[in-house]
Amino acid sequence: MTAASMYEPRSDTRVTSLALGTWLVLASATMLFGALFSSYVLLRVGSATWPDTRSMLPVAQTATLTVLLVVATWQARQRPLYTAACGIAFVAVAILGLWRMWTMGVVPAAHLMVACWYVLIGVHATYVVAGSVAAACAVRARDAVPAHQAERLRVLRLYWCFLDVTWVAIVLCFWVR
Amino acid sequence: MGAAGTGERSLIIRAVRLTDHKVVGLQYALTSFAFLFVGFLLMLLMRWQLAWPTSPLPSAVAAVVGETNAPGGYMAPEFYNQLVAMHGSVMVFLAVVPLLTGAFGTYLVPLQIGAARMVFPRATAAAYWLYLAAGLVMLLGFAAEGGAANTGWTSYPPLAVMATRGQDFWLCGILLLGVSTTLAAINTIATVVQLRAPGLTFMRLPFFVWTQLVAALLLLLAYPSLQAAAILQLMDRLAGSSFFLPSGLVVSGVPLQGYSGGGNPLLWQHLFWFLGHPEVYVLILPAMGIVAEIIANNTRRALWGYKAMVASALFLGVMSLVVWAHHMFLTGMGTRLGTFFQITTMIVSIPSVVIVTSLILSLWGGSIRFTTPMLFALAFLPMFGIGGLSGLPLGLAASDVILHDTWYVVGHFHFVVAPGTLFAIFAGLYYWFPKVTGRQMNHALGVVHFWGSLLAMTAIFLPMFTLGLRGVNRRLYDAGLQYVHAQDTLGIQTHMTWAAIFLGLSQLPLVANIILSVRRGLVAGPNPWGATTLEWAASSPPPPDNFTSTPRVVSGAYEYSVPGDPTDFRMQGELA
Repeated sequence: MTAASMYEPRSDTRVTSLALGTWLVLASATMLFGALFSSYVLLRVGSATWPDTRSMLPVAQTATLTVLLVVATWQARQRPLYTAACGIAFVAVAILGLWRMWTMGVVPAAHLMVACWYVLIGVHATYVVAGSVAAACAVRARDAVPAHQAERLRVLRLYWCFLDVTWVAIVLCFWVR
Repeated sequence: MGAAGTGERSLIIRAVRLTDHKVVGLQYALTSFAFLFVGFLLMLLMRWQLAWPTSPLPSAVAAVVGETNAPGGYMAPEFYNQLVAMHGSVMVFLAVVPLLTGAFGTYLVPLQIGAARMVFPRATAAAYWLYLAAGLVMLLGFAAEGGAANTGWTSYPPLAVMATRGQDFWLCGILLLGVSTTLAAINTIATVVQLRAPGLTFMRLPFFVWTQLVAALLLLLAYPSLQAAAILQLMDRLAGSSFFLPSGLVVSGVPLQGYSGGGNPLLWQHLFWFLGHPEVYVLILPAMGIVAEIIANNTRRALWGYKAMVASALFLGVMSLVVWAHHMFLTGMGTRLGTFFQITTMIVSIPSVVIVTSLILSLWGGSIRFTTPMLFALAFLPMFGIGGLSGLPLGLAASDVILHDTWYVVGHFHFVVAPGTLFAIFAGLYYWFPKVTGRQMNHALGVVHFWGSLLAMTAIFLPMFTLGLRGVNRRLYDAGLQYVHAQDTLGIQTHMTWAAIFLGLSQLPLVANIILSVRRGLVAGPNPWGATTLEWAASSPPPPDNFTSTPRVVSGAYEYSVPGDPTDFRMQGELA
């Protein structure tokens, strides 16, 4: 396939292959997070005790993570380098938070709620890493055909929007009592 | 250009070839046939134990298996459990599904839609290498302390959480396979949607392509559930969490200490079967697709009810996502939920019956050619019929309560997967071999292979229904030696083992046929079967970009015996 069909819409489907591929990645990711959120709900509903989950989310750390994600998404169409940098910073802050919890003895073995937090943050961070790599690749391809680059960045932002929505869902999971 | 330039070019060409869907398809084929062989060997070991549970293994086999797994030459029960788990895992995850979607799908889909390649060529190659890594990681479990995974291919917790180290290898393999499967599924869907040749509308697609499309959609949407489950179980095993461990767990009479509890073992079953059941359709749909191509070609007439078959495949795909809990009637899910899953299970059988009925009706009035692929395709119909219909009592809670976990279940799904799906794979192998190699396979050897396999598989799997109906449980290390009601069934196990050995011998004509035909088979030409679909417009084997020019499709996929035509087939497309 030539590069053109990757970045230019097919006449009958009216979608580029890159966009379709990304939508399919997001469909798969939705099912993965859907399975994890469903598990969270099932375990929480079935659990005799469920600690106050808001203590899991220090306001400063949560705000920092949220701002980094929003900036990453906002910059995806103009400055993918910023997106990549914010993504890496997000992962670093998230790992730091988990590490601090671990050293304080708040480990997955302590309670199901803590284990859920580790899993959701970990899987989400994995997708953030993938998005950062994609953003870094988009930087490298800046000298490509402008229309192709625009499509690449449009799709990049779509992916990051998904990460934002997922992040909001995770925060809500642990914020709602 | 100097030597360096030549070297550089050859390197690039080699890199391009590695992402060529035909090369990757062949890599998939060789690897998954190798895994099929491994799964077969594991089965032979199990069958030996079931036939002669009080006798030692043959000395050569015992030496290979090792003293730990066979102390004094007698198979250890723990090793038998590993064989059960790994036979199922290897056959489903590493052999049959990759053969159908990875080998046949990757090789044929671009050719059948008139494309030069898959839409994401590097993802094609990445999917293969991840699949290979997943398989090797799973098998490496045999070298781990305590051996490979040993809690069945379903890996139910809490047992699986407390199993030996091999379970970690199994879970890592599942995760790697998940990434591979997702890449491959996305690639297949996007390729079919985006790279169809001009004029190839969706309702002109060969049925095989439709089945690959639905299978890819199922894998894309269902596999993440198993990935989530694998992540949670790995957390339970490695990080000490309790996703699947309930409070107050007692193991071997001793209360389990040092875990938080509060988890739910049934959560695993829901997540597992959300993939586990659609996986059945992932393997049966492409098998039906292969059989449909071969039946149309060898009856020299269009498929009967093509539109109904396509609609059924789509409906089957949707319904297969809402039947998973019929594997869990014995978990005490309650009658209301049970009724829902019984109804959906009965409904999902309807499209399967529509497809098989259409295939049978396609035979009516055709001038049938009994070629080797057609023999296997014809045998697929009753064999899959037995497998499918014997599943209905398992989809109804009242009868499932009796039959659950007996040999009846093993007979049911083996009829679907072995003489059902595997026969379709053999049919496809004989049918497309000339396209891949440019040479025909030997018909006489094919006939020997067919009859040997048919008789052996029937002799292995049919008695399983008898065993199950007599109440003999599956997964028994001693085949039921300790149960009074199983005593007069032990002799049947011996017959089944001899049939399994005969099945292995029956594959020798296939191996000989492949080796002889690759070297000395009759030169096939581009279209030896007089077929209509686009892959037969390419030369045999197809060149790197498949077609010398972009095909232009002018008709449906099965224009056979059109009145007024000088030949009895009309190619679906013409090269510009």
